[in-house]
Amino acid sequence: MTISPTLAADLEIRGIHKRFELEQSAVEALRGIDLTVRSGEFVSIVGGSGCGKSTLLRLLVGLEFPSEGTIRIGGKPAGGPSLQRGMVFQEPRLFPWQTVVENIEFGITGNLSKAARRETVREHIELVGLQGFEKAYPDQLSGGMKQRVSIARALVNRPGVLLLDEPFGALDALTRITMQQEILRIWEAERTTMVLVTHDIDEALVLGDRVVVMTPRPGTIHRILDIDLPRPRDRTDPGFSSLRRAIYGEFFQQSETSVEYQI
Amino acid sequence: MPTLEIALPLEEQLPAQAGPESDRAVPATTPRRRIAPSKLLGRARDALLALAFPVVVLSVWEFLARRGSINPSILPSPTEIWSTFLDLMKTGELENHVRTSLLRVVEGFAVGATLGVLAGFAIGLSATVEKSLVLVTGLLRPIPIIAWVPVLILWVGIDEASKVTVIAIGSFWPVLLNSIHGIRGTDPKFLEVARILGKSKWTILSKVIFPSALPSIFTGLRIGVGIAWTSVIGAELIAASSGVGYLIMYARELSQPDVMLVGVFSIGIVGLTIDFLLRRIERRVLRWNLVHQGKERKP
Repeated sequence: MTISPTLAADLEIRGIHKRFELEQSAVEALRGIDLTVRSGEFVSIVGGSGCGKSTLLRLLVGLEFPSEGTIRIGGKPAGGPSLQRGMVFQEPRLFPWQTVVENIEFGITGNLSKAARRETVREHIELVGLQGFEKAYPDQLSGGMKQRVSIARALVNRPGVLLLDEPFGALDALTRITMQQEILRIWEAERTTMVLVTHDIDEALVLGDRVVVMTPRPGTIHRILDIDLPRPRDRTDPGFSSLRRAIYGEFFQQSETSVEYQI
Repeated sequence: MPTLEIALPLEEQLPAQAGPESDRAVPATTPRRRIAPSKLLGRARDALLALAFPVVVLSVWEFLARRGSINPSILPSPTEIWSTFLDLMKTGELENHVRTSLLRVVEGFAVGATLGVLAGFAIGLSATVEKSLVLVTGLLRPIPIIAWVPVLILWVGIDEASKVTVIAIGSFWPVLLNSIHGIRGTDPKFLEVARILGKSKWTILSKVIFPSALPSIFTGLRIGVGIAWTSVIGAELIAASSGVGYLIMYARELSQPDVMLVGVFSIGIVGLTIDFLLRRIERRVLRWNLVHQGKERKP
């Protein structure tokens, strides 16, 4: 049996508001979010803590529901979680009682023959470059390797959209750069629609076709930049630097009123 | 009394040798091979220390008994107890009593532990079940097992059934409480992963909640089997015609302190063996947990 190719899906976010009811008051996490992500596109969302970027991803994956507005994925209303959407969190969230193979296999939902499951898992181990570590437990892996397993688990159902919630935020600087190259390679191989949330401006610029800048309290989209630089992107390139400066500018401008942004 | 406290054996209370997390980019500070000999030495020293104290006690005891400072009809010398032990082994009497008691433990524990795990899942997974049982469990749990013995003799007779039931009750509580604890302790982040992947309730239960609760359930089983073993002796002391508890009571009636003490110490030895075996099983079944806690690194 051959694995069906990924059918990338587009995302349509219209007029999203999200409020959290607390005991006494309500907190407005997101206000008036409009965003369209073309199928096969890589969009980075960058913002400081509390700007609602993770909340937005949780809405997209279906773990939370918007207070107002609609989300359509591949033309259909999003609703609860579905296999069309995969998600990678900042913490790898691997089951410590399962080996690498078992963790990735857990990602498969649906009726597949044993041989097909094994083949799918093998392919994905290859895709994330973890050959030789099939039998290892997550606790025996480094942070970067754990995140590779997590990515493989999210991709194994061939979702049309992959949502990445600060997936490399907990990794050291060098591993992070390697993983950024890896996710680009995977994206180019799979052509899945990807939405990445990060607080790292360079990461957003290296990866995204577009960079969405969000500002906090309440979370709103401040600006959307098209990144017309060829990949792989050179961080020392003048075009790259000027884009970085532009985004930094957005934050420094605000830093007079909000000092929470960290680089 | 069974509580949620987790009784860790001495060796597990020691700090782990190596941290669980070390990236490949970080050079290993202490290669594994160099640890091995010193670790072995440490184990030998631990074993010596563990043996030294009983040896001293036994020597003093033997010495005092031979000098005639201890009344042998109250406390016989260690050598006397030992030779009685050998006699009882030769006739097969001790073995029969131990086997009878063990069989009761196996039956009672199987029932109690099964019910404990099942009830633990029901309570741990459903707030409704928990709320409806909170008073009943709160009332029943503090009752010492021995208090049930006369009641059970009335209800199910003086035969095996009353003893097996006592053991079932005794092992039920720690298994129940630790199962609930384990199920409640399931990381909600893991449950989110399962939800995103569209897993069925059954898959979530069997592949996420159950394995995650298993270390805690095992702790409950270990405490439960210990309680099962102590409650069988208690039940036999009160009413039985066989078993180690009976052996002790009968020897008291015949004024045979050496036989009594053989009985008493064999309880300890059997209990120690059971715990040792269970820990071996746990190590095998829950090897991932050792890795998780940083006690084992290599696959």
